[in-house]
Amino acid sequence: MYIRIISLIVLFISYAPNHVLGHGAVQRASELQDSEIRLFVADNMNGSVVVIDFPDGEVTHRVSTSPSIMILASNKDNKYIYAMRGRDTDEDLTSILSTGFDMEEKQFRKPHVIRTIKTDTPGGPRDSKMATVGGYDAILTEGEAEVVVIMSDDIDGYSELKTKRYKLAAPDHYHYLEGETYLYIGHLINGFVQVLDRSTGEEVKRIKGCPMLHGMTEDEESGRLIFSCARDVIVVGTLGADKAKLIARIPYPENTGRGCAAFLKGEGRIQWCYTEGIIPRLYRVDLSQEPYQFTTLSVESSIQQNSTDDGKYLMVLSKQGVLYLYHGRDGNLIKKIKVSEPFLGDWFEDVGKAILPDIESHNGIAYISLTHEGRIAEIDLEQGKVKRYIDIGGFPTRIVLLAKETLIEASN
Amino acid sequence: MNKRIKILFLGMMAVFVATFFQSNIFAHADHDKDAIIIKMADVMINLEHFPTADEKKKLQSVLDSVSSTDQEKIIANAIIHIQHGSTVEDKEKLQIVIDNTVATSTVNTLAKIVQSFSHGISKTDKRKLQTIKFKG
Repeated sequence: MYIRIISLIVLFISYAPNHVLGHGAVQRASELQDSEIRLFVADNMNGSVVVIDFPDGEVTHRVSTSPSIMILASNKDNKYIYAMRGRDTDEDLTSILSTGFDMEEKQFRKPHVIRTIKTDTPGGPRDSKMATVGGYDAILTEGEAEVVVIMSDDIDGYSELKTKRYKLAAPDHYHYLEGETYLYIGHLINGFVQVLDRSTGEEVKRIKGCPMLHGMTEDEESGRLIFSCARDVIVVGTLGADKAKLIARIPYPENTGRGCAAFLKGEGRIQWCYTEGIIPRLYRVDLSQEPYQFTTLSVESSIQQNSTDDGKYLMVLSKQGVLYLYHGRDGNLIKKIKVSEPFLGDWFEDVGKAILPDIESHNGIAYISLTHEGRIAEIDLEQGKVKRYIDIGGFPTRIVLLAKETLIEASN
Repeated sequence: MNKRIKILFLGMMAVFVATFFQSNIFAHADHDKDAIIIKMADVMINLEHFPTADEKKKLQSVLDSVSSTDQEKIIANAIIHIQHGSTVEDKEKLQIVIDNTVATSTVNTLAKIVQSFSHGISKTDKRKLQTIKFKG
């Protein structure tokens, strides 16, 4: 009897730790990655956001969002990436992703979808940056004609998303920028710039006479905004005596039938604009020289364009898959870099989903999404050569680039 | 009365011409993506040896459609006839399409893919077809 009891106790003691171990402590592995650059790339094969970390150039994550991404943009403090759907489905959604940057550790973690919200025909970002109202992220809903301001410093998955709404003049396609105290909203179809008082939401005025308003930029030094219209661009002041006034009209250099679509910041106060569709011409205006006037730069039929952060280079990707580097001030051709096979056929991007390649750059390195080849080209602009290709499959389109040094500078 | 109709007609023509040349309208319009080419690319992507009855039905609709071009009809016909590869006669017709279209056009690309088809689609051609479907 005594032996049996002892045997049972021994058996129990030897068995028990297995259960304890099952709920015991485990080693927690750090997911921090010490990357210099993180690219977020919209893959419109299936609507995922592909994350590539550099210098390794590895695809580190794929975050699933709703298909048909039209816009990919980071918010002002680079904590979030907004992925907005195009209109080729009957449900308009905006997903808000974390960028994964850990401000304390100064390294990147895994990005993830924080929440997805319904937004009626979302828009508003410019140059891959979210629109803001008083420092808060804002989405312009083109169907409901509203500016929806997300009044939360931190967005999480379970708290109520506090919003403030500004009513706009009419449903339209908008081009938006925030001024000192007013909000300036260009309306494409209605052809005017609506000016709202940021504090009250009341309409201050409408600056009319800009049919088919499409594309805008800002001259930071003067605070003036430039909106492109069908036959010319209008310059609108935002500061002091200029505020909410039509300052000038700049006619296009010749009757090409094409207005400015988007602007690229060159060196100094030079602005370049490319036209709708693939035509071999860029317009140039020096905003330090009044009266303002356009000149033109002949370029190869291009499928995408951008300028470097410092405005030093104007980058023009041709349909033949060649990246042309022009001087950001005078437009002189500096070099040509073959980056891909030609883009076959017509590449008309409508509002259904993004299909065009994109170009981003940082510190002399450019990243181009080669939609037709399912990969990203990493290009050394100074050396004029492709460093490598990163295969991601699918159809990569929009790119948002986050550089660690920029994130750290901004947080200090 | 006749004068009014004339003015109305000219007015409508003016609106049409202005709309056509208004690039910004293009940018935000549904470009009526090339549905016929996409339909044929869709068939070719999964084609193994010869088209199925369902695929032939799709291709027949291209032949029957009034909006199909002659070049598109030649391509559709050639796909219908595929038996492990295109027929000699169809290859000749496809060559005419290739010679008469811009090398970077989707019609040209599709014609080349159909002409060189052999039992299945190569990885490179599959990517080209997927891209045609993707961008429309």
